[in-house]
Amino acid sequence: MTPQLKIRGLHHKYGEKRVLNGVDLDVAPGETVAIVGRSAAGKSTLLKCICVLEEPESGDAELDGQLYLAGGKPLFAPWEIRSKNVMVFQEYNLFPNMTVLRNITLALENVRHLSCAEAEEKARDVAKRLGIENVLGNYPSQLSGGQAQRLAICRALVLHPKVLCLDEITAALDAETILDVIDAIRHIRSYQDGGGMAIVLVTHLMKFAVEFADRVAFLHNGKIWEELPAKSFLTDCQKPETQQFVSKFRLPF
Amino acid sequence: MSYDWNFSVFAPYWPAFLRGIWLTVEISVVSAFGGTLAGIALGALYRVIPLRLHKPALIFNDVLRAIPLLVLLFFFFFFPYQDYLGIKPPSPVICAILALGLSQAVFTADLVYAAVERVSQRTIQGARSLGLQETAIWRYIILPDIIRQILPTLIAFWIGILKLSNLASVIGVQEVVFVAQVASAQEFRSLEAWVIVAVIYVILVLPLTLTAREFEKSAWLKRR
Repeated sequence: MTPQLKIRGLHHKYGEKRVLNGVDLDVAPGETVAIVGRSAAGKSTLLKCICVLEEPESGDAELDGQLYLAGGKPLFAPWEIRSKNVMVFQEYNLFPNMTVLRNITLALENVRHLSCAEAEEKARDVAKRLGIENVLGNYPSQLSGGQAQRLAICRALVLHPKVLCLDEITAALDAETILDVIDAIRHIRSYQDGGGMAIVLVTHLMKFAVEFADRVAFLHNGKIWEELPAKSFLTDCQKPETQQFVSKFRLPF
Repeated sequence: MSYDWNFSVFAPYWPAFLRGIWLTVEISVVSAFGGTLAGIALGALYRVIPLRLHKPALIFNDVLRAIPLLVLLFFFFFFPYQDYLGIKPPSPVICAILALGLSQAVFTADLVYAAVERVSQRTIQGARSLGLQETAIWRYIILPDIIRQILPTLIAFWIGILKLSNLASVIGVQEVVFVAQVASAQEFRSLEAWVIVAVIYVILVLPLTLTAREFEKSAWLKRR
């Protein structure tokens, strides 16, 4: 099967600091891959490079078998790529001048070209799934951290991207809400065209990675150091660096 | 020993004062509005030109800002339009609007240029991450943010324009101050004439100042 997202030899550095040093990653349609690693390992940078919010130094990437990044240069207009590979940020990055509803409908109207009414219907539907339907008239400054995070997920999810990149979305959510969010994402993926949306998520919560993802990849020294099925990641990892990283999650808390 | 106040001598002048007020408002509104729009365009232009031209553009803007309004008024009034542009000299009212509009424009351009830098990069990145194009980001994210940033300062400047518009009297525009000068010269009642002018300006300006103060507290302004 053609991977939904295929990344080869992705390199990136900030000034002299090398962050990504040849990342290879395949994500199948409908698959969820969790990227784990130490802080400042380049996890967020990887997501930004996938969504061309950062232009990598070098590397190729394919979406659905179509090359969109060659030698680090985007082959399409960046907004075209970003409309397919949508990213959700840890800091939400909401639009403070718009209501919650407008935050969701803006891209539906301007990127997906839905009519106002269609966009609103869709927005209400997904907002309800994520439990933010009663704050649609509020402004982002009036939301709790959890609501803001769910809004950030909602406005990305309604676009039905081919690849959804989630950066530390659990930071502002409590355990119960995390389950709701997972549920909503799964539901929306299931009725989207063929259930093909691939998800790449970055998290420091191993429990979340194992619960939600199909596969866990350990990012170390700017490379995917080791990747395993999520269920066996904690027990079956082979390389000493991975085992050392994983060891702290075996603590009884 | 008491001054014998006498306002009644100005009764015949009230139609002239009313026309003067109307002219004051007209000149101020047109130059504030037009100057602001021109200034937003100018400030955006300073931003989109190549980086090495930013500094010269800002210096050019500063030079214009340094020229006193009175000098600008005389400049537009005495400019040899026929010789350079082949057109008839505009009326004093148009000259006043050009001078006031220009000072509004260069002031606004400076504000806009600075405000672009303070637009949250995170918000812009949020918009980019959803696939929005740069033009849409300017329209929905950057401009609304800039407007919220600069509006309180702009309103203060608009009120300033209203008060400065009376300088146009020196080039013969028959606004409130001009009427007061003529009337006081004919009636030998200068103090009363200027009290009338003061009252007119307080009536014009005070509601604006109070509204502006309320507006500064509005929730709308904080949504950025």
